[in-house]
Amino acid sequence: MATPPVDNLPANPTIPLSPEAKAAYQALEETIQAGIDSTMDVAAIQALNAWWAEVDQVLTKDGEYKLSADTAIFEALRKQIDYTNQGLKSLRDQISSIASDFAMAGDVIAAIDKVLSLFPGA
Amino acid sequence: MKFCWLLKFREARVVLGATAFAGGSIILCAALAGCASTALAKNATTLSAALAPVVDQSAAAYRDAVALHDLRADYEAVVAYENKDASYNPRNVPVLMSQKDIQARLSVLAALQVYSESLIEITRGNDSPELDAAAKSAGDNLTSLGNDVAPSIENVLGIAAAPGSTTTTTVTTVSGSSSSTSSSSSSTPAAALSPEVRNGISTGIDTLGQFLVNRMVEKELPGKIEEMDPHLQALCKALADDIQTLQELDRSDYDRILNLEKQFILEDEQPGRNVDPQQHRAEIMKLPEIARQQREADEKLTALREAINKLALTHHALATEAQHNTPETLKEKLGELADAGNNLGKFYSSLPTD
Repeated sequence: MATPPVDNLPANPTIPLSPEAKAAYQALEETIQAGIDSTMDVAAIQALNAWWAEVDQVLTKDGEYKLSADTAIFEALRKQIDYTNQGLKSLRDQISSIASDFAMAGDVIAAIDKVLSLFPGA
Repeated sequence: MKFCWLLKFREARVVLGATAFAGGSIILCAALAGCASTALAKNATTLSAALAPVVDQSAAAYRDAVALHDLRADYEAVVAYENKDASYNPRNVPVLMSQKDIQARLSVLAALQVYSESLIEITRGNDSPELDAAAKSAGDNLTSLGNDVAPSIENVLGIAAAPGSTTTTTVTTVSGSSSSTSSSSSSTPAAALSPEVRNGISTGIDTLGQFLVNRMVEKELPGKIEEMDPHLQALCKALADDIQTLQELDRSDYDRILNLEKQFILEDEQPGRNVDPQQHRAEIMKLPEIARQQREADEKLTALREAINKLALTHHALATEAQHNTPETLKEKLGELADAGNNLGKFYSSLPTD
């Protein structure tokens, strides 16, 4: 078995990874994966799986960091969308008020009718 | 739909009502806007129907990813124990996404659903049962007005009063050889307003209300859609990025599970293990099944990212058209947005729910 490729990688790479660093880690993982897929030797599989896990740990941390950062973005976006929704609610209320105004007009007419009925011929 | 129906079958009443309250121009405007708004309402309903499964199934999509990551963690536990790794502690195994992370995503999708539902309510504002009821009530109340007021209304409406009836009573009194005759007449007034006129008035009020609603919608709604657009663009980008990250993590989780499954199978084949052959075959048969699941999950997440991108593009086109404020193109773009949302909904519906 050759020298483990992971020995040449930085012990604690900065997270989030730069696009170049991420691409390099992904390329390395794919190379190790190809090695795993091409052998049925248990010792080789054990070694390759150990290296694969080392590389993947970095990529997984990077992914988890992004998901966590996305959470903050989603929370901020929700507030902005809620604000727009509030504006739409106001518009809905204005539309409802048109019906309310007509209903009120009907009530006023009914009230006028009642007053007139008390003073026939007025 | 209701208003188009009215145009065909209740034209006489509509014209009557329009004459009473606003004239023919309003009814024409309301009629055109009413039919267009009905189409808008239909598209908005489709959009909402498409978004509902997105909200429902998103929870499953994120939780599936968490469950997959947990399964990988179970495999890692075996490796840790076989390697006598004393640092391994199952209590310290991190989860992929916390409940807070998932909730943040579901909340923003729920807010998007509120937006969609608001569009529905607003675009069907001219088909409001509240408005219909108010118009009918006002018409009924006018009908019950006393006769003293009715002639004034008739004058305003230009409607001829329905003829009343007159009864003449002749009484002849005979007294001895002489007789005298007296006549009296009484009139029964016609009903103040006939049912036909009343219905015309109600329809006229309804028409005026629809006109006011449509005018408000056309004035206010495009601005709201434009206001939403940058937020929706940002949301779609964040969602697409999120799904891509999830896709990469899913891919590596599946790879790791496959790799460790292969390692365990090969280790079981080592001399001295004495693994049950049937159990051994069952383990081997897991491999293609896991690979199939990986491929399907990957394809679905790729399709989801494409659907999110299309949703962003179609909403942006809608917002651009809204700036030009042309109802027909607005209607067309809202239809495209509904189609994009529908594709997104179909994707989410295709995800397993169990």
